[in-house]
Amino acid sequence: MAVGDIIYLTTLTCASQHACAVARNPQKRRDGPVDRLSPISSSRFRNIDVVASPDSTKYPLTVGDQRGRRERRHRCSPQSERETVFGDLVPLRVSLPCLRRFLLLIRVSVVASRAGVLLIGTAAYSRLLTCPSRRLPRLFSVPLQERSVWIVAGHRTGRCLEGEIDRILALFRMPLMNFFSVKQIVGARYPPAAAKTDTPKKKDAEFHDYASSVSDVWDAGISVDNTLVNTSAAKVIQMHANGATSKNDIVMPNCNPHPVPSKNNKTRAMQMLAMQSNPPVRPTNTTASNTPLPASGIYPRLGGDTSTASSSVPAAPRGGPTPLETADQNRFHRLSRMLNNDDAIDMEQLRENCWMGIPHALRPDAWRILSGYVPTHAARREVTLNKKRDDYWKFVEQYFHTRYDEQHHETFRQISIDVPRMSPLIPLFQQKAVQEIFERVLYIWAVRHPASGYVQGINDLVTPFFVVFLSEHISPDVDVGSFEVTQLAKAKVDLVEADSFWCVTALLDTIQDNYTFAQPGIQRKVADLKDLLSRVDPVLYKHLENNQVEFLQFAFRWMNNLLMREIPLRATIRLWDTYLSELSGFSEFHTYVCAAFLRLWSKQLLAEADFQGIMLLLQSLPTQSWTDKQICELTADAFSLMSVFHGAKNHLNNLTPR
Amino acid sequence: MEAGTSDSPVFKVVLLGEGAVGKSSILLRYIENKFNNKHLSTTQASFATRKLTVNGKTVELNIWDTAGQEKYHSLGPIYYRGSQGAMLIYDITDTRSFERIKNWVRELQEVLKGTATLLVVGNKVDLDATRQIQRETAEEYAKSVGALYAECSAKENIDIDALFETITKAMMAKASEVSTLNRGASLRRSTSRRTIQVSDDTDTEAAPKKKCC
Repeated sequence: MAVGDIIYLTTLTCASQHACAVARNPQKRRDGPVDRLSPISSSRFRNIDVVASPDSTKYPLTVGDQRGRRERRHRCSPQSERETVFGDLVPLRVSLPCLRRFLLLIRVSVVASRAGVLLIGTAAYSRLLTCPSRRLPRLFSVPLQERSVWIVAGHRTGRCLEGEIDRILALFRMPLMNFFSVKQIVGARYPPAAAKTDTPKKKDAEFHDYASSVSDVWDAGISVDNTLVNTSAAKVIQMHANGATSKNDIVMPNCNPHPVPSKNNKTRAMQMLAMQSNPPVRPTNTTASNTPLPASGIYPRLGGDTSTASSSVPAAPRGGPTPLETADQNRFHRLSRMLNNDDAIDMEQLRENCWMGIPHALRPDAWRILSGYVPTHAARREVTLNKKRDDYWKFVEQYFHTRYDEQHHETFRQISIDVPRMSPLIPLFQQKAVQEIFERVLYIWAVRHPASGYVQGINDLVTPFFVVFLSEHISPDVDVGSFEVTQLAKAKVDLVEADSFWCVTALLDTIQDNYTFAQPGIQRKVADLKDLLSRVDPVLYKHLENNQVEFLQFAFRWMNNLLMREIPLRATIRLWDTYLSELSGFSEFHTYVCAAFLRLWSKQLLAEADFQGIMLLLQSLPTQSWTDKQICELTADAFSLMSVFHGAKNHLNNLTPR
Repeated sequence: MEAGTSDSPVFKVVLLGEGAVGKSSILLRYIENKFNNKHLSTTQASFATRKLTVNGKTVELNIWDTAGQEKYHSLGPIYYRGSQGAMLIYDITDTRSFERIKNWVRELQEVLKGTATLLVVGNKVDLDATRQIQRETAEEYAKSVGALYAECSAKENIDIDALFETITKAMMAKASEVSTLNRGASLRRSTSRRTIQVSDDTDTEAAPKKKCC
C-alpha cells in the first residue's frame, strides 16, 4: 500500500455500506446491494489520488496480523456475508463503547501503512469523532500524512447534513483540498433492504436497538449552521492554498534551524558529532525586536532564528482564524483562566489542556504545576514557591562547598567537564554565569541522589527547564538562546536556578532507574522499544536485525537523553508539554514516542543497505526543522500506540511468534 | 569480515578512554579534519566510517566512539565485541585518565583474548608543558600488555592519520596471520600456544588461539 491509497472503512449499517459502494460506483445506486465493487470512478472522487484499493486480506485494518483476535477482543466481528459482497471492503461492527478503542486501532494501522482513509459512518460516529471531550480528538486533529483523508459522513438518518463533510474536513484540517467538492453521498438513503427482510441475529438486533434508541441524541448535536460551515471550510481551503501553517505560529518557539547543507550522511553524522564548528551567523536582535508579534511572540525563541523575518509576516492574509486555530485559542484561553484563577486547579483538566502544547506565556506556570513542584491551589502556591526556593539555596550553602572533598570531587569533576560541552550552538550555554548555575544545580542534585549520582546526559535535561523559566523574565521578542544572563537582576536568575533545580528533580524522580548502576531503566525501555517495533513495523525490525543493528546501539541515547540529542531544543520543549501532561510521560510514554519516532524513518532506513548506512542515518536524523506539526503527529502516534499496547504486552506475546 | 557490503575488508575499531580525553575530537579530526573545542559530550557512543589505503590495500574502518564516563562502562561490550582494534586513549596531562585505560586493557584482554589489536594513545601532546605521564612510562606499559603506543594531538592535528594507519596495519597483519594459521595447520595451533606479542614495526606475532570450550 502506498501513500495515496485509500482504505475504506465503513460502519455497520447497510446504508453506510451501500453509500460506500455508491460512492465508488454511482451506476449501481439504484440496483440494490452491489455485488462487485469497481475501483473508484465516481466523478466525486476523481481528484483523489487513488492508486489502488487495498486488499483486505493483505492489509488487515487492525494491528499486525492479529485482526481476528483483536476484533474479538473489542467485540468487533466481521460480517462474513458482507465481506464477500464488498470484496475489498472491510466492514467491521463496532459497538459505540468500544469505538474509541477501535478508532485507535484503525489509526495505528493507517499510520503504519501511510494510506489515506475514507471513513463513512453514521452521524453518531462523526459526532464522536468531533466531540471535543476526552482525548480522542487529539488523534484526529492532526493530519496523518500529507495525503491522508478522513471523511466522516453522517447520513444514517438520510437527512444528513449539507456541509457536514466540509465541516469535518475543516475540523480535521484536511490537507487535500481537492476534496472540497465532496458532498453528501446520496446513496446513503438507500433503504437497507437486506437487513429488514432478514431476521436479524440477536446481536445485530441488540445493536440496532441500541443504535436507534440513542440516535436522536447523536443527531441532535449535529445541526450545523450552513453559513458557518461554508465560511470555515473556505478558510481552511484558503489556508492550505497559501501553504500557511497555522498552529505552528502559535505553538512553537520562533526559531527556525538551519537545514543541514550536506546530503552526505557521513558528513552529517560528523556535523552532529561536532555540532558544527562554525556557528551560523545570526541576525542581530534589533531587526527582530521591532515587530513583536501576536502569535509568534507567545513562544520562547531559541537557537538561530534566521527566519524571524519570514515568520514575522502577520497572520492577516489568511483572513481570520480557522476552526482549529479557534480550538487552540479556546484551549489557550481556558488554560490562562485556569492558571490565573484563585481556586485550586483540576490537575486532570490542566493535563488535558496542556497535552497539545502550552503557549509561551503560560508555560512556566504550567510546567511548575504539572511537575508537582507547586501546589494546585493558588493561595498556597506563592508560599510554597518561596519556601522551596529558599530550600534550594540552603542546599547550596550546605553542600556546594563539599565539591572538592575526596568523596565528591569525582562527581564535580565530571560535571565541570560536561557543562561547558552542552548545546554548543546556543550561545546562552556558553556564558560563564550559566555554566556555574548548571554546575550548582547538577552537583546539588547529584549529592542528594547518591543512588545514581550524576550521569552524563542529565545535564541536558536541565536545559529545557532553564530556558523556559528564564523566558519568564525576559521580553518575548528577545531570543532566549542568545540572551545575556548578566543583564538580568541576580535575584531573578536565582529564581530561575531554583525552579530549574526542583523541576528537574521532579523529572528525574520519575526516571531514576535510568541512571542507577548499570542503568536498568534504560535497558528495560530499550527492550520494550524493540518489542514494540517488532509488532508495529516488522519489516523495519527485520531490516535492522539483518544488518546487525542492535537497538542498544542507538536507542540507549534516546532513552538516556530523552531524545534531546535527536530533535532541536525548541521541539523538545514542545514535546515536554506533552510529557508533563502525561501521568508517566518521561518514563512510560517516552518509550512509545521513541517507537513512533523510529518508525517515522522507516522508509529511509529501509533504503539503507548496510549497517554503516543505517547507523549513520540514525545518528543524524533530519529533524532540524521540526515544528509543532511534527511533534503533534509524533505524540498522537505514540498515544495511539500506547493505547493499544500499554498493558497488553502479554496478550500480544501469545499471538506473535517471537 | 562479513559486516561490510563493499569489496574492501572492514575492520571494526573502538575508541575507549576516560571522559574528555579527546576521543570524539580524534575521530572528528580524522574523519573531517576539523577541531572543535566545544562539542557535545558523547553519551553512549557514536559511529563513523572511513576508507583508507595501507600498503596498497584499501580497507574500511568502522569506528565506534564511546562515552567516557565510568557510568557507561557497562555498555562497553556492545561496542568492543567483535572489534579487530581498540584505541585506548588518555590525556597526557591527566594521570587518572592513564589509570583508566589500564582497566580497559584488562577487560579487553579478558574478553577479546588477544584477537584485537590494542593501541594506547596519548592525546593532547600540544599541552606538553603540563605533561603528567612521561612517554617512556606509557610506552613501557603498552609494551608490557602487548599493545602498540602512539601520541598525537587532535587539536594541532599531529599524527592523527598515523594513528589509524598504525592500527590498521597491525590489524591487517593480524588478520592475514590468523587466516594463514587457519589455512596452515590446525596442528600447529593446538601445539604451540603463544602469548601475544605485538611490536611497533607491525610485525605481529600470531594471535593466541585458546581452545574454545
